[in-house]
Amino acid sequence: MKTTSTNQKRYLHRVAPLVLAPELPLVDGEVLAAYLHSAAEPEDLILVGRLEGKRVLPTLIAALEAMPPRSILPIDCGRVRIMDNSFADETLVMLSRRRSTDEFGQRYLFLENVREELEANLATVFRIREVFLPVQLSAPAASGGVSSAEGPSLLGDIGLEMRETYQVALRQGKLTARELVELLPDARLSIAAASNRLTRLVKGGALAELDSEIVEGGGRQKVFTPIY
Amino acid sequence: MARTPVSPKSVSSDSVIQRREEAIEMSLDLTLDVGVLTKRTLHSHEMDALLRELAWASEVAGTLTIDLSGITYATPSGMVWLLAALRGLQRIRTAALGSHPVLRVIAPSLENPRVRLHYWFNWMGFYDFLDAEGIPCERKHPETPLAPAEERSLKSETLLVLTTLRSSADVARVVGHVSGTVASLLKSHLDYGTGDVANLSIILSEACHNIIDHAGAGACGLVAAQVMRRPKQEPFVMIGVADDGMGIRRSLEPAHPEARQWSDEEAIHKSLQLGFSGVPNADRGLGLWSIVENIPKYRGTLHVRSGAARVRIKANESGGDDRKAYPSAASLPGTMLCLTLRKRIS
Repeated sequence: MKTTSTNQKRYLHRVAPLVLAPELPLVDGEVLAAYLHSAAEPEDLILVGRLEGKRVLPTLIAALEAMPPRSILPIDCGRVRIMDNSFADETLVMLSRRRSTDEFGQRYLFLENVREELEANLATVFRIREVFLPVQLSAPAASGGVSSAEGPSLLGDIGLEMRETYQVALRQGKLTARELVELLPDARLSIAAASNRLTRLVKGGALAELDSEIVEGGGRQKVFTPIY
Repeated sequence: MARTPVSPKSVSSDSVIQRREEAIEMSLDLTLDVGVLTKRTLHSHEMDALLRELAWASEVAGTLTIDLSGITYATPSGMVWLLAALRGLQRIRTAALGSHPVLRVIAPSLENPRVRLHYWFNWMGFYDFLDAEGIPCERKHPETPLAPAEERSLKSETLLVLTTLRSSADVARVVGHVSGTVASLLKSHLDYGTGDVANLSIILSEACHNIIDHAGAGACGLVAAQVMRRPKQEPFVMIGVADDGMGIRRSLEPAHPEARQWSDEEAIHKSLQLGFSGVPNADRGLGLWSIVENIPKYRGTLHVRSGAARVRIKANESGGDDRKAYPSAASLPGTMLCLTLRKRIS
């Protein structure tokens, strides 16, 4: 199998996480949650309602737009206990859709430290709205709740074959359509079909397209890498 | 206000109808005996006759008295629905009659020492709400001083005492309370895991935000919730949510002008569909749909009342739900929900 020469780590730059926490300053001059936290557990965030979602979205967009190209914005959800459908609809779904239209260029985002209960709800909303995002789930509560658990995964409206493709990309670090065909022989993919899968993952923000490489015998081929 | 002829079977008592007609025609005072109209049970889906009478009573120019002394049982949703109806009635009467006509309430009686409904009403904040709305309530016994609402929820199976909803911040507080403060009650009584508590919290959030987003200016929402335990029955959680706003049909009109031609029942059914919303040009319509989606999982029941109709959505044994409508002849403002959820099907 041919190896690529592009260095993924030099290609994508991970910026400091945007932590969803009560004290997060918003572009409207307020903070994220002057009152949205639970009185019983003030460390936890309760993010509910469309109005609140609309208030927070510009801050998320501003953080994405402020990054240089080829950057990744982790959104740390470790302190979010509840995010209802409406809030998710106005923030994460909106971001995912706008990202898929290439509005943010080569700027990527993923959710990290997502709690199990939040994952279930986001999965439902993303599926209904036909979007997906790469996420890193938090470890079970017994081990502290905010350290990384298993590897990244895709949350939302994405089929098994696409998840399989994403897992291959994660294992390989970088990948071409030709390599995907070789790594998934049971799928009997054509180069075009493999390329379609990878392109869809790029559009959804799960993979980034690296510089293309020269193929032996002439021509060039695209190289993809997981953003996480 | 036009009145629809009443069939004898549509109300609980002919005498109530007669007194109502006389009161309207002669500007007399009228007392509605809630015990008679509800078969002594103040529960959301047994209140159709009462709500119908309250709607008609908006035309009474004299003092309107709501007599609760005859009831022996009430649920959180019944209480929430009644209070939302009374607030709506007060607004209608004030607008229609040009002054602030008297609406008064007689509290549940203490005659039956086993029931002690009066104390429970006090505990839930029923009298506090009436006081806040300026609706006089005749109480024969002084109330016991109460602890703050959040502490009361911790000391009983009350998940949430009557809580007024006027802003998104109110909803956030409700969700924070249920997902944090009283989550242990849900875990101990219903064996709810963290995901179930999160589900319930989101359901509450969506139901309450519908009021903030769609009820209209000047409307007020109310919510209450409790773990219900009855002999030889599996425990369940009951949530009552209601407002005195424009109702479902009118709230759909901005995006669906044809809604003006719909019946209230039709509007309720539409509002339960995924993506169906009153907000034009927007990807909305998640709220009620997401609540209904949870009904089969938790073997639940949802009653939605708006305008002159009530629709019941009930989990069936096939993993889906059955829907049944209960049309009424008269309508009050607002939208009312009663949701019951049991332990999740494994």
